[in-house]
Amino acid sequence: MKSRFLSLTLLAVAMLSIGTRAAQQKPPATPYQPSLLSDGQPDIQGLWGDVLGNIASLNVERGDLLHESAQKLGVGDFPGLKMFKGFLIDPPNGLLPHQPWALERRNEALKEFQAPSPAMMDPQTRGWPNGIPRENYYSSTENGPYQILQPPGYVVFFYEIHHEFRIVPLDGRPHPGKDIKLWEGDSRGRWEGNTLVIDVTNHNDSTRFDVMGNFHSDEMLVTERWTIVDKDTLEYRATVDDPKVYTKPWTLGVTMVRSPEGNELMEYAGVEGDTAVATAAAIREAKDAEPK
Amino acid sequence: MKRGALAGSAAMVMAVVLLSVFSGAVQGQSPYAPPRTPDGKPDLQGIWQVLNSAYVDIQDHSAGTDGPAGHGVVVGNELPYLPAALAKKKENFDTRMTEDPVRKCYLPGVPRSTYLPFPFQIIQVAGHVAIAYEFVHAQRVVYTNGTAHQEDVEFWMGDSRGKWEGDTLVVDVTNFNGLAWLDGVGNHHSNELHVVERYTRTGPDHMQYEATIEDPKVFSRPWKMSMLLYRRKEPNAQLFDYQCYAFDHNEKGLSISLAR
Repeated sequence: MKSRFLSLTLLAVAMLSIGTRAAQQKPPATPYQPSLLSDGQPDIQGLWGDVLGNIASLNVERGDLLHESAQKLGVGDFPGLKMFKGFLIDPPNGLLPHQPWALERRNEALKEFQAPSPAMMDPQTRGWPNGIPRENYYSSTENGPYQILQPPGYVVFFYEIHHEFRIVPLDGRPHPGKDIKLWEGDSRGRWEGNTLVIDVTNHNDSTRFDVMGNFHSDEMLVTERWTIVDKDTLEYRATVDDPKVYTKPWTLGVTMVRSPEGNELMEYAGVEGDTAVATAAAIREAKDAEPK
Repeated sequence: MKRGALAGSAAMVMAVVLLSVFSGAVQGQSPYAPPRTPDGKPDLQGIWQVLNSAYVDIQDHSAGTDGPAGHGVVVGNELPYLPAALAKKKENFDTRMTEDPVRKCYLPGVPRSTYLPFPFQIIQVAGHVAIAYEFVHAQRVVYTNGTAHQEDVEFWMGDSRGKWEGDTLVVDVTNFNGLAWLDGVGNHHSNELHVVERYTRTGPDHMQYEATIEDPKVFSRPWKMSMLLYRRKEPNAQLFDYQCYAFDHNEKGLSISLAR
């Protein structure tokens, strides 16, 4: 009970602060000097999670504006959404720059987000991979962190949620051929000072950015920037470039914090317990049965 | 007489050879000295895969609709099932096309993950050996930092704690939920399964893998499987993802993409 209250408080503080965080961020007088591994990589090993918790995966956009759109579409009131400021850094208006057709498509999914039909259902509710960048901000220290391991020449991410992993080589090897489509994409990284830059290509078109139905095509390119700013904080930025779905590239940002020392990854077997389709159908049926 | 002496010395040479082979085996020594990681441990890293058909059946088997023929990987080939567990194996065999957890794309468990016909990658950092499997992106972290098993938690993949014995990584795996199978013909275990795995490099591109299986609810005595792992040598070798649970939904015409 106590910890639940604490997490809600933290969440509220986080939501209030996130809108102004980007503006407040100034380069510190002396940049943090991380310890270096045997191959010269800054050491960012350990268990990490998004400071926002799972709410980040609910909606990347500004909640009050999305709430307005949802109301126009006849979606029931969802007060929690109004409070969430989202975590888009660019565009500064907090809304994704959809192509007109893509906004229509997104709204079809938004209309159903509380009890989606199988065709509209967010793949992650069935225990399928979240894709990149969502895998990162879906992870939180309380509800499923991820572990970073750095053997020489690689950065490896093990995500507790859906037991996903990414193995990121740092040697500049080429991406696989464009006809190979992957749930988590294909990652190639390099260090620029304290920042790990990862180019992620070869995405399939089945993952989404959030529960509200924001999606991408299989032509998406993602550039991630992971900056170690102090021992326990990583600033995460992901720029999404997908001209088929969006009118221009856009960027989201979240702060990653360390999970307490001694914690270990647990096993999250989602597919094995998948009842998502049946559950959503039961909710729809109950709604239809309500007296109008 | 002379001939007898020659035979005697041949026997002596043979005895010395046998003795050294035997003592090597006893001490867990491998004639191959593997390269070391930065913290001085044998380097097991890379992408590995079996070249056998234990995924069909861990015992000797003929070719059939389940797959190709193959030598078993069970040392001695016999599985010491208790009577009730043998009946369960037969039931599993009859229902394997629908009930095999791997056919449902569920986590394959340990040791089955090792001998599925998919590659896996070993990653080593100080205190941890991580194993990433291509099949349903199963993952394990083997803690080599001296920590104890989790208490009161059960996993599909078990809880893995490792230590180094000479150049061999020995992994103690417990805390199984008992829902995984050992192969495609219904060989099984309970939640009292205890696996001890041994990973030993035998050359630049080969690794010996052994798993001792102990499960007093299912088997009357411990038994062992043994097989060779091969390094994937293609210059562009990498793990992809195999999210087979999603294939079925695509086939049923349930679109999971909003972009099409």
